[in-house]
Amino acid sequence: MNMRKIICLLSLLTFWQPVLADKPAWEKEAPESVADLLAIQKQVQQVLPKCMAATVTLQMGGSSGSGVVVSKEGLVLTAGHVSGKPGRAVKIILADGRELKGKALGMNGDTDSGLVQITDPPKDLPIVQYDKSEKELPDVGQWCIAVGNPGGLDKDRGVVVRVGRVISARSDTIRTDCMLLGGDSGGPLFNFNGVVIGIHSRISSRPDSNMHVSMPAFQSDWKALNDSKALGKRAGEGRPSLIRTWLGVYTEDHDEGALVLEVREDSPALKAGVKKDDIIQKINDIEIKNARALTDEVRKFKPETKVRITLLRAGKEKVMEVELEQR
Amino acid sequence: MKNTVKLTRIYFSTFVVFAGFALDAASLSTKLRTDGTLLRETFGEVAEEVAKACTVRIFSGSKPTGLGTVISKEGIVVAKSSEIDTANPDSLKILGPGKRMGRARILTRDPENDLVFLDIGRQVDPGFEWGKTEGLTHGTWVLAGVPEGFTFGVRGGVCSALTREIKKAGGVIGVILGGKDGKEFGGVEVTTVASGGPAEKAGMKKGDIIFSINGDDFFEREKMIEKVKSFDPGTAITVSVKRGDEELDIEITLGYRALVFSELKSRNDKMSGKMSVRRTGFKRVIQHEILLGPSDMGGPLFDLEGKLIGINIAKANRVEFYAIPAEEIQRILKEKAGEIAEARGEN
Repeated sequence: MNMRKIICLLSLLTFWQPVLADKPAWEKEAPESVADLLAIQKQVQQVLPKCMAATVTLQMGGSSGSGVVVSKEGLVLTAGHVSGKPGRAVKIILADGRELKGKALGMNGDTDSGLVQITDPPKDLPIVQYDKSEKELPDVGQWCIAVGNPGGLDKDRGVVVRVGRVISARSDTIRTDCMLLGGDSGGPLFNFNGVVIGIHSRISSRPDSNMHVSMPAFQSDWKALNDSKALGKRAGEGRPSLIRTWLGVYTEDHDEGALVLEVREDSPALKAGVKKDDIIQKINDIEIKNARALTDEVRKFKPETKVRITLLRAGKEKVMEVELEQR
Repeated sequence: MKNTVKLTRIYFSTFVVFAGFALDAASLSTKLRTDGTLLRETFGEVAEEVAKACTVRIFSGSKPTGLGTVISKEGIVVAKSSEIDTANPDSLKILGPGKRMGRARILTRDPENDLVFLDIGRQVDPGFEWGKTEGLTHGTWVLAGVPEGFTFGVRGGVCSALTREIKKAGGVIGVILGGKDGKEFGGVEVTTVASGGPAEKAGMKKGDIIFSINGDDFFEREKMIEKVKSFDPGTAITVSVKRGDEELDIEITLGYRALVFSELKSRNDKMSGKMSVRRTGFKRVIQHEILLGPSDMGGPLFDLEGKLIGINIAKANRVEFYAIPAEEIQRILKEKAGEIAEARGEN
């Protein structure tokens, strides 16, 4: 809490806060005025130069990803599926275009954390601080900045910056509404003080809902990662564990079950005739109380299992058979 | 097809988590998100009025073909040219500003930047001031005019990359040159003709041996591809082929790579949903992250003072959007002033 007080105090000194002098704009529920938006912009642009300078492009064979330099000795945080097999050669390209040599250290195929070591770090290597929390996760709603090099380094474009908020944070994974692209993978998620709070991991089909590896996920494996160990069930495969069984609906909580917001293209749900606004209430005889329960229950089945789904459509109960698929 | 292989590898790091992932209690309510209703209200305070005053919707008959922006009191509207390429010029209509629907007439086009200038045939107050994009940098808020029900609103995001030129991707004839080539062979062998593509429509067949483009001989695959790519989509070129003992000249109108080879999309493209068909080849663009659809192109981009700083021109992929800076628009408008005046004079 002390840290927060200091931040508040600092912002009080540095920024003009017309409405609530004790709370910076980015700690309000949502920005309420142009002044709030400007305060957010000012803070973002104050921390950005350092954040952008420390964000690097990683090249391994014919593929590329992003990473962030966090120590003068040349330690780079990235995603496990980017760094891949421990020991493999990695080329690190700094934001200013300099190319450095390095190698993959450890990775965790389940959480998707990964480390890379620059083997010839220059004296002026740009670095940023990272959150060393072992348990503490970012607050839901916290503002953040996503930086990355989607599609590899593009000197005319430079690194790409997005601003968003934390949607949820669970032990290994943070979800934000920062607009990410494949190839952003491994890039850093910063808080408004320019400290790394996550590493871009997986994109979802919703452009504004993407996943990042949490910092506690790095901390819990810190020694093993530094010792170039490949961890997790899918260790060394270069891919994080993915959810295997797929129904293909995007839902939210509803008093009577899980409300379907979207039915995915080519999904089992679509083939079975599930529609937007349906409320899913049961899978076989298992009651579905909310959106989370639906995901959990679907995952318990093996792909290609036929299940009965009971749902409410315009107030009427319908039962349909769905063959779950592998995704 | 070397390019395709490379793309797939570059994008190996794209990961997808589908499945019914759920919003549980500990997640941020949608209204509080960056694209949520509360933020939209705040963005609206800045630019909703001006967005309503200058944003219009363009229709080809009854089919919506994108947005436009009124850029002068004389009722000149700028829009994305390729979106109305196929429209019958006599069927063009514009809804707005306000609730008025009227006929629109094409005054002139600027193919280089994919812009079209239209006349709505009445005086209107576009209600905006031109802004400057000089200080625009990473993290600067920008706001886009978008349709909202029967009227217009704004959505916000930040400028996300350097303002720059986007190089042309070039056109394609829609074949795969997977066979033999070289001087001794006497041309380049066509191994696949993309179904529905420009080459198929023009009558090219699998097994044809291409040896000349617009009268210039080409025997090497790479050089031939390079030559074709140097033309814009929409350009007609003459392709000479050997078929058995015959030699044929085939005229082919080049297509957009993304349309012709849709099955060869990169993983990112597949995750992107609909994008703008023409999304490369712009002299100068601002890049932003406001979540728009391809049909929102042609609409205005504002700064936090509500000044017009650009015209949205392309949805490049799922999260990257381009706008032509206000200064470019003003420069083109000046350059085209003569043509525009002439076209209006004929009225």
